[in-house]
Amino acid sequence: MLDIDRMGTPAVALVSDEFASGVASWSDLHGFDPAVVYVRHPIQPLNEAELRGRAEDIVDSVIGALTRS
Amino acid sequence: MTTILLDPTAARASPARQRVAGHRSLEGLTVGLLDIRKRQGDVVLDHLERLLGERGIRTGRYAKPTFTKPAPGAVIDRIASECDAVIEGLAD
Amino acid sequence: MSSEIPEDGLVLVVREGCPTCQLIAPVAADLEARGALAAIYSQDNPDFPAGLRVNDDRHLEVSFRLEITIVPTLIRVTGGVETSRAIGWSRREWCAIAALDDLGPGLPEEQPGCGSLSEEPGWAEELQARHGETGLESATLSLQFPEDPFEIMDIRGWSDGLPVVPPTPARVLATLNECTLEHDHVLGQIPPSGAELTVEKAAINAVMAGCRPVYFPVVLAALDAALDPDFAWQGLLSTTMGAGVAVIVNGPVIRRIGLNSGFNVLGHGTRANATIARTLVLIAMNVGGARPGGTDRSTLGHPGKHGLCFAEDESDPAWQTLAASRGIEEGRSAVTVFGFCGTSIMNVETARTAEDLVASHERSLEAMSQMRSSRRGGGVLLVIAGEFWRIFRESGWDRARIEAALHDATTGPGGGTPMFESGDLLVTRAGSNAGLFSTIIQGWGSGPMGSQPVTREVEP
Repeated sequence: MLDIDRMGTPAVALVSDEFASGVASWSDLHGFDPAVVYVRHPIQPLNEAELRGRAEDIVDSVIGALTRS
Repeated sequence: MTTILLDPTAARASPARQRVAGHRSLEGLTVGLLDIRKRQGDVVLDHLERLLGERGIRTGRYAKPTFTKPAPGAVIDRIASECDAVIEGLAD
Repeated sequence: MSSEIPEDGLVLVVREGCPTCQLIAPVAADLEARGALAAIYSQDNPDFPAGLRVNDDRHLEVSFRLEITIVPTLIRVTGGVETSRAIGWSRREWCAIAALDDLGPGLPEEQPGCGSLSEEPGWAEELQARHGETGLESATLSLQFPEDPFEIMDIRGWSDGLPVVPPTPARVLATLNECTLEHDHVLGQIPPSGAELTVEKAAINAVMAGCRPVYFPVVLAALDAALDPDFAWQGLLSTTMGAGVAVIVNGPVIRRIGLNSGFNVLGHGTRANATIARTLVLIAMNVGGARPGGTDRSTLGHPGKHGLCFAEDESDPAWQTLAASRGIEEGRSAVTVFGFCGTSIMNVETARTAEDLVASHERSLEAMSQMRSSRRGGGVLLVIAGEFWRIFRESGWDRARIEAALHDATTGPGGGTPMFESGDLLVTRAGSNAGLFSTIIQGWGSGPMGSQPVTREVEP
């Protein structure tokens, strides 16, 4: 995330909501607060239809994160 | 009696950094989807890519070779030169 | 204690425990009686030599500042500057320095002195820290009694949960003295923060982990190996699977630093084994910022995440060492790092032949591969103890034959997909000679997409 931001390109990370505390630690360590959209946990055991649902859940937030000034 | 201890921690690697501003709109822009290669993440990105396409947003796909390691510099360079914005995922 | 060293005259440094100092005690008395002695310092007993005005230098500050290496030492100081020095007893030199020609009648012409206490192991670094220019750049924390350094370090989060040794300047200097690199040399960027690791920070964390200074070259080699991108240390430190670092040591350094390769080799009881890999854990936490529940997402973790370090059993020349099998010249010391998610013991009491052992291991490795959604992808470090090795050896097998047989057995008779790529199955020997056991150390993700073992020579 930091690498892409340094190139001047806005970026958003998709992260399992179980990992919110990990993002906080990462931000603290790197001195950088990335744009993050949280995806409802779990992901790995889901079937195709459930995964599509996850994508539909987040698409507006993703666009929002990339267009926020 | 004084005991002197040396600090084992690193000073902060870098000062706090503001992230770059987003775009006014994604219309006419290219959004890169960077697959970090966690299991099933590609499927979510596939659907997301289709949903963005339905809204008239151009997309491009990229992937890290493995989730276990940071993205190689060449991948980052290519994304930065070809895309106006990036979606990276899915970390779980 | 007087730390005011006279600016003019003769200065004598002695200690009672030195026979040469005993020998020249009458000369010291003679010099004082003639008013020729500006100051006399004793390193051990301030009442020696008896009856003289002796300054107490039991803290060795004056000895350190005067760079005394041998006692007795007689120094002529003029205007605050040393103009001449005699080390040990030599009538000719002492007479010259004192500008007298009749010193020590009845004494031998000369007699060598004894080592200065300020040069004793431990003292040199302590004195450097107290009175010298240390060159250390890290921030310091001064604790006054009754603050307990162990509690303070725990509160500050400098520990992996076990108490850590206070990193005092003297201990850190003693550790730094074991390598030729400069204090501020950068060893690499430590994940996950990417903060730079200097040799000094590595030494501080080695002290805290409990390393004796002599372990430091092994720690540095292990760090260099772990920082190789092939090892994917960042991945190991973040994974939900919970991966630790194993360090396997080969070569003459094993005996030099007292690493265990025998009884309870993967367990507790030996300081070098317990502290070398632990240093990497502390560095990842203190320098890299890796914290369980923070960027370390280990769902369960395992006891080996405290760090595992052991020596290979090199006692049988028929066994090609792990380091040699990975390209290190015989007779050199080396470390191999291996990312791992746990250990599992194998017990085959009925084994009589090499083939029996391969069949049993094949079943266990197959079962273990079921922990993954795909059968492949996890490397293995197999630790063979003495009796298993005896069976292999009596069957005429060597390392290459064992590795090939395990590879073939886990691939299956009809060819099929091998469980291991070449290089994903490491075999080593350790443990005691009694007991039909091996231990399977489970890797994390193997191959170029995961964490690959990395071997580095230990700088002599």
